[in-house]
Amino acid sequence: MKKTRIALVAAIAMVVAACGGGGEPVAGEGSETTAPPGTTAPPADAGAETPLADDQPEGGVLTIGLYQEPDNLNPFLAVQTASRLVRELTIEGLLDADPDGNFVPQLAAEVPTVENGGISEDGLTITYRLRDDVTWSDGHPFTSRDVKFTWEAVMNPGNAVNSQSGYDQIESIETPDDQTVVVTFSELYAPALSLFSIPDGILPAHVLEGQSMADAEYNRTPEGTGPFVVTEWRSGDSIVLDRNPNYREAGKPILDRIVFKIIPSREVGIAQIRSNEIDVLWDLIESQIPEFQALEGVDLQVVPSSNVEYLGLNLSADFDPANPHPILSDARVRQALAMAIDRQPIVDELLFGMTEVATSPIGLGWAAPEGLGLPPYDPAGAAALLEEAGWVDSDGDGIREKDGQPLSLEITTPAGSQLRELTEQILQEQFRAVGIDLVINNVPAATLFGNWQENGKLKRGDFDIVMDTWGPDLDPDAFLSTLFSSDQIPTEANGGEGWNFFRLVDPELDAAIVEGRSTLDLNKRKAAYRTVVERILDAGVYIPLYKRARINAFTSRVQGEVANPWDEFTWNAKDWSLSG
Amino acid sequence: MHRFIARRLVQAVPLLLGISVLAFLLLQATPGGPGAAYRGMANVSAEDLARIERELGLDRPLPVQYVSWLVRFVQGDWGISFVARRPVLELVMERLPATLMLMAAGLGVSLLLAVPLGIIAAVKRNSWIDHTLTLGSFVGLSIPVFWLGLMLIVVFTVWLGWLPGGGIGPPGEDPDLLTRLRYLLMPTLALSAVSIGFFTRYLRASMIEEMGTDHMMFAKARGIPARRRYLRHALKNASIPFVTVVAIHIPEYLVGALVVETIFSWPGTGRLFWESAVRFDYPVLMGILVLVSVLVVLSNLLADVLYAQLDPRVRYG
Repeated sequence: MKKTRIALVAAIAMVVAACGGGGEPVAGEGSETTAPPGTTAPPADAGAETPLADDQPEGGVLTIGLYQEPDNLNPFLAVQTASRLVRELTIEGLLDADPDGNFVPQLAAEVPTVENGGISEDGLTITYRLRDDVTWSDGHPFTSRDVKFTWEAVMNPGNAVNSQSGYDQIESIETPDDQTVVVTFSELYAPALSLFSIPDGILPAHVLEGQSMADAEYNRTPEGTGPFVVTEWRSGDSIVLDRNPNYREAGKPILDRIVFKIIPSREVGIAQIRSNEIDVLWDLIESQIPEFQALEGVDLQVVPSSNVEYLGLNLSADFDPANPHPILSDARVRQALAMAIDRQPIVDELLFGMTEVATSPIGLGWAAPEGLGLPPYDPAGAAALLEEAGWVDSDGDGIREKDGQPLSLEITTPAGSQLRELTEQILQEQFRAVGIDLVINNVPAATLFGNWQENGKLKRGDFDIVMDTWGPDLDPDAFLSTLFSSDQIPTEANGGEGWNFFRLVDPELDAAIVEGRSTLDLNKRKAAYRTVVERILDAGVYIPLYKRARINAFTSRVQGEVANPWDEFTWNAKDWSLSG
Repeated sequence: MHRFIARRLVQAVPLLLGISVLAFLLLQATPGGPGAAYRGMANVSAEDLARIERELGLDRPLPVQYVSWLVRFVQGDWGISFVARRPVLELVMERLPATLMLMAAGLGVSLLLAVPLGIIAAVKRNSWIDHTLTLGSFVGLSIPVFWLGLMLIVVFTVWLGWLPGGGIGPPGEDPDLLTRLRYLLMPTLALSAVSIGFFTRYLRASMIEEMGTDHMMFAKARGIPARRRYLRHALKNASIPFVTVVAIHIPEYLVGALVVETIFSWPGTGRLFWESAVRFDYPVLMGILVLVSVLVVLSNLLADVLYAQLDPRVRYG
């Protein structure tokens, strides 16, 4: 029996060894799938720079809690929002956006305009003059070569970048000297100034030249020109950025180090900001506002954004754009729906009055037209419109009917959001008050937003009313074209391209959208977008509810943060400091 | 024995191939796909989506995709993550030590607690101690891991503030052993609750069965002291099936790790799997699935080998 004990001990030892053997998987001998040396988690350099706060009285270390780990930090490959707010600290573009939605120079010395000769009369050529005092974080000078390389990298088929939109309309890029870039477009591209800038950035030619971006080291530890530089990324744990010693602005950044701590959830983040383990908590949800309002030493930054929570109405039925929706194809009914909604209680009760009601698809930025909006809350007017359209409550059950059909509509939204579920209940009550039956049928996001082949409900037109969030970027063209152009109606023939799931066909609207993108003259563009907004509100297929707010929490020892609806909250982190 | 192990390993090859085909097809059958990640990005056009699919090789016929994946996989090229844009092998291996550490801690704690508890329960059969342990085991067995994990966080992090609510250590620092253990404690408890209950119940049953055998009666008649009878004789024989069960149970820890790592934001392969599943990162999912399958096959093999080693009556040849 002695043998048994040895075997038992050996067995446990084997199991433990197999489990604890770091990096050496049990697969063991001969298998090529075992880890090559050096791929295990690196033993982090202890000692060297671990003591932080004490010997750096000046700048200090700021910790930001992220409940989402960035996928990667390459501006052309990353999809996650969290990626953008990390790389905002290190990767810069030619231009940036200020809080009012205007372009300001970043790596460029000035914003190109027709007046300063930066934009040619025909709008096809843009000349950028670059700053001459910029170096990459590794000390290499930043030049026009980097701008040209960025375009080449985006167009390189091996790199599988997210989007080539706009870049594919560039005919050539000339770099007559180190500080001049001449971009020539093959056809006019209205959002041209967003290229190389928002939300993109400039790639370092000297680092990436001659290699594929597909699995480049750069994607994780990018060289940048910004105030900070990524020094360490521990997967699932933290991303550390230190002050960029080569940053051009004297005395900036003020902080020595910013640590992004990956936390499991917002809830854990709240516990950690209470216990001062983190200084900043990113992206709270609206229902968490009261908890923070009661919290000493923590300030909320609430930024109403250009993203609008809206109701989208389907004009077609039976998955056929040509087949009008039995209820919603009547403009009077759509108008009645808009008038039956009282937005203020939604903002006051569900959003604690921290954001604003929305009445237009473009509510912020240079393109937002003033004085346009939906008709105000008017239940009596809504009822009158419905009567006029032939919807009458003939059987006294509180719901209107026409030709024996009850006025019953289905609302859908991605399941799982408490805010949206409560909003639906408020809408249900408000609609019921004018005799409309609203049936709630929420589905998983993948079911709702799935593509044509996956039978996505929006793509296929399998819904009455959808509640969703969408909004324009700094340049509204992409948003407006994708949602409202009649050539963006998903069909079998076009493979389900486009997001005009309202199935709205309005030649005047189409023309105005095209006009908006056929000049770089901002005044002409503004006039075009005024028409666009008018036509959309007139059509009544898009009923705005409220502006989505981005909510971040800062402990009061953080100084210098400035809200910017057009950028991530880390946009001016070089000016941040810590007190106390 | 060597021939037996070799034969089992050879048999594992078609099995693993089958699993990989199945996994590959199931992944493709899930609604969504890598394109889902780009939804809502206004600047990503349908042409962009088609181009990305082409450049990632997703437009090729499925058999072609599978074979090209397989050929590279066996050469050690696990592909490139769609999401992180890094080699999958690097991603997985970077996360594996954290998972192995958690599994080892979970297994260690389970055995350290379950072995003495199982023995006590068997020896004190039908006493209040046994009943309490039985109740405790069933509670451990039936509590959902995710609920237990959340409750631990609520009590020890939110209410008492004693333990960190997640992570493997303070971010950006190299923690000392004590700090490490503080971070390890709650995930380990959540991970081992089920197996503590299961192992205790199993060892108790084996011990009781063993204690009722003729040779135990004989030992008692010979006047061998109780402690010696239980530990030297009964436990030894009872440990034969027990060790086998423990070995077969090892993959359960991987399943548990998936939940536990996600709750405690433990940077291991379980959480990587979850995150990759949400983002339809096929190459990473395939890599982890194959790795887990290999572990299951090896655990079963280990169980058989141990069985033969422990029980001289069993012979493979």
